[in-house]
Amino acid sequence: MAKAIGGKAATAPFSPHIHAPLTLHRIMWDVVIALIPATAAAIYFFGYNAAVVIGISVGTAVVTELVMNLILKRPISIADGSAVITGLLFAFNLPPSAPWYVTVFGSMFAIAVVKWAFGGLGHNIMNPALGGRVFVLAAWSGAMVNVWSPTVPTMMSKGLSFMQASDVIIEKVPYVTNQVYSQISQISNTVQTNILTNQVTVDMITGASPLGSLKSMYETMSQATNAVQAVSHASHVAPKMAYSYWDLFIGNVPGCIGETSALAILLGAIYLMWRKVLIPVLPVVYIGTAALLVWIFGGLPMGLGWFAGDPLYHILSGGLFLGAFFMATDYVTSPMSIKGTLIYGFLLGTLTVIIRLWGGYPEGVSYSIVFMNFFVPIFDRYLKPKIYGKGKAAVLVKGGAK
Amino acid sequence: MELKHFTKGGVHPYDSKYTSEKPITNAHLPKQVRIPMNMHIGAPAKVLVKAGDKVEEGQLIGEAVGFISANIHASVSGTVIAVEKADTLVAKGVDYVVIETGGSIRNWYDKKFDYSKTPPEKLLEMVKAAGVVGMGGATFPTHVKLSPPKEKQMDIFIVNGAECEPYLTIDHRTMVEKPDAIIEGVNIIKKILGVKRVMIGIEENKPDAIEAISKASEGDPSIEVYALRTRYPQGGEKQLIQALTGREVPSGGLPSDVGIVVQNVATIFAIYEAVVFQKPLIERGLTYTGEQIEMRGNYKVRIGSPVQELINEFGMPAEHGTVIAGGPMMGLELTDMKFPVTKGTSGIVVLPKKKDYAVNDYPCIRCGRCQFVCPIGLEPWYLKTLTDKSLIEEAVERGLLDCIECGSCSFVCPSTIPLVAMFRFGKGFWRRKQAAAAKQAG
Repeated sequence: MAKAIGGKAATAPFSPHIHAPLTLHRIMWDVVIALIPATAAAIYFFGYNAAVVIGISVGTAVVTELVMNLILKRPISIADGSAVITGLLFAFNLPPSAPWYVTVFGSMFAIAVVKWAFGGLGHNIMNPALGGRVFVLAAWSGAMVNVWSPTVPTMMSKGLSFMQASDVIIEKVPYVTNQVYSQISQISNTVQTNILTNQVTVDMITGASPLGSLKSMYETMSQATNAVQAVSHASHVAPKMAYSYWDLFIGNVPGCIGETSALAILLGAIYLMWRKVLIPVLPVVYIGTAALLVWIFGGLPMGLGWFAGDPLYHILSGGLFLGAFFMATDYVTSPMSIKGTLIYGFLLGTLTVIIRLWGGYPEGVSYSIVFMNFFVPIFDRYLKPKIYGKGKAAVLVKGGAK
Repeated sequence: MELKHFTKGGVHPYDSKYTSEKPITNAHLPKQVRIPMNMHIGAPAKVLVKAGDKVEEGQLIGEAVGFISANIHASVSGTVIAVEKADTLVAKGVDYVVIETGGSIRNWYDKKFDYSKTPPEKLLEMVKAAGVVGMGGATFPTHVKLSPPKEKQMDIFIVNGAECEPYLTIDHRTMVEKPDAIIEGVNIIKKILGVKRVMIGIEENKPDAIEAISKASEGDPSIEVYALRTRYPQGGEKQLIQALTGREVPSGGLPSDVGIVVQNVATIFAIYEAVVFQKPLIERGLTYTGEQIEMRGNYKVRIGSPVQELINEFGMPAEHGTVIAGGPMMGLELTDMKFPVTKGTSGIVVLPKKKDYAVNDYPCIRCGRCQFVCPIGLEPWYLKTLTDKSLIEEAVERGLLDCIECGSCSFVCPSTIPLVAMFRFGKGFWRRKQAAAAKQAG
């Protein structure tokens, strides 16, 4: 149809003849700009390796986009910025120690399968970055969740340089090949020496994400037979998860590359709100629901009863901020109507809390978003806005339409 | 003062009203006028003259055919040099009467007609005779609007002074310069309709118009003047009714279904002239404007003047963008400058090149902006998907026919998808299909 009446880049021969300044390219590149603070925070907290992972991921995404354009004979769309966003967001969902092949295959999967197999921009059935994450989580699950790298500032506070701390983060990868291992063992020796001289405990290196710590705490406590025992179990585990709210807020905790710094994500989100690209309804409902439910039920797995949860700890840890502001709000895979958005946000929050408290993985954000993505068409099908003149407010005085 | 406004959607383009301060002046008489016989919605008028005839300014040259049609008069004195078929902006093969100007210029304003004792039917007859149509752009014959079915009780008459289209200022200037004429026109319509209450809605970006009209209607308790929030499409009939009265015209219905008649300022002025000076609709005010136009302003132009004549008189740079008859949101592109000014031409807008926008037709990213700005509460992205797949029936179920084609969705679409054009296509397709089905049924 569009081709019949104008085709590419034809001047509109029909009304309206003027257009708002906001275009697709501007929206996409605005999102890229909004992700810069989180990228900077990632490199600061997880060292140069984070930069490498981000680089590989974005590069793969853009190349894959180009290849798919050529294979499918579509106009070259790498300039619209959407592939860069997917590459960035996918990297943000990887641990800083992610090996290159996980990054490459995940990023490729996100663009080629999740995005282009369904028709490209605007047609993907789930968020491509999260689709990629779910794919690599299934394919290399050990690499993705078992061991978390500590942060560079933490290591530096123990006397390591930025480069050394960055190396420790790679070295802690449990699935490195022998070849890679031999290459880094030398650095590792220096690091070990440094650590020993500074009397750093081994726990500090292996680390655990804040939510991983919570999870193991829940597990320990679930073995308790009464409340007193539970509290004692809890106090036993608690020192291991001693992340302050401030560390959680600025992102100085182990976790995925781009998701730990709530501050950096908020900065980006505020920029998007100022540019009118993002309306914060969905993030607010999502995070609010999660906080409320954690407050109500968060204490239960620990045996501490109702209304004993720590909502602040929960909303600042894991991928909730990144998920709520940059993943769930993805235009393509979120409902259109305000009513739908409210319900969608509520269900996302609920699902996230259920997975976090009672599910198999410590973190529920990606799974809840990917899962809910599939229901978006149903939201759009049934939650439609009221059409003018079709509601109760329409007063028919007498007679009616001819 | 609390500003009235419609409840849902709308956009606020830069209003670009460069000519708000420019008084209405007369354009030169054109050398030649080309008057098409359907400048209105409904049946085209029947041509009453032939080549070689001498005509006087104001002489009937096209006779209304049937109820929904309008009379057409010679806008200048002169000689008919041809009756030919040509295209207009909206229709193909329309009768044009071409008149070469020459002869007397008539003075319409020397005596005033006292309508105070004239019965409403006679007044309506005068409006009909003068060939008045809706001059906001829709060009619906006014006498039809002013004679709603008897079983429907009209209780409010609304004056549309919103003029929400960017660039256009002719209604604004008319209200500032001729407030008494407008109020007199309102009184005539009040008499015809027998309504007791008049609501005048003017957007707040025209404070001088609000002041002038308020002053002119002082002491008449039946006339209420409201400032409206500046928001496109505030001047859409349905939006204006909702903003002022809170009533909603039923889907597929008319304002008369909720007891309301709406007329725009230019039309009311034409009714005033038709009754008080017995002057048929032979000229209209329009805004000739654009960033690059130095002589931009508000002008009185004879109906049928080729746009080229205006260009010669007021100038137009060689390098420019689209030239539009009407406003940039709902107007039509002028593809040929020989096209004449018609009864519905509220402005000629010359856009600079950079203000034009290209239809790139990127994929829909479901950003939801179209749905957010739709004043009717439609889901343009969804209707687009359905019309794309030729699922017109589903689109109609989803409200396709309720679209008022205001263009807000296309205006904001970041992918620059020609949404309104697609809906127009879809509506046309549906109507043709319905017509074919009706024909087959009987």
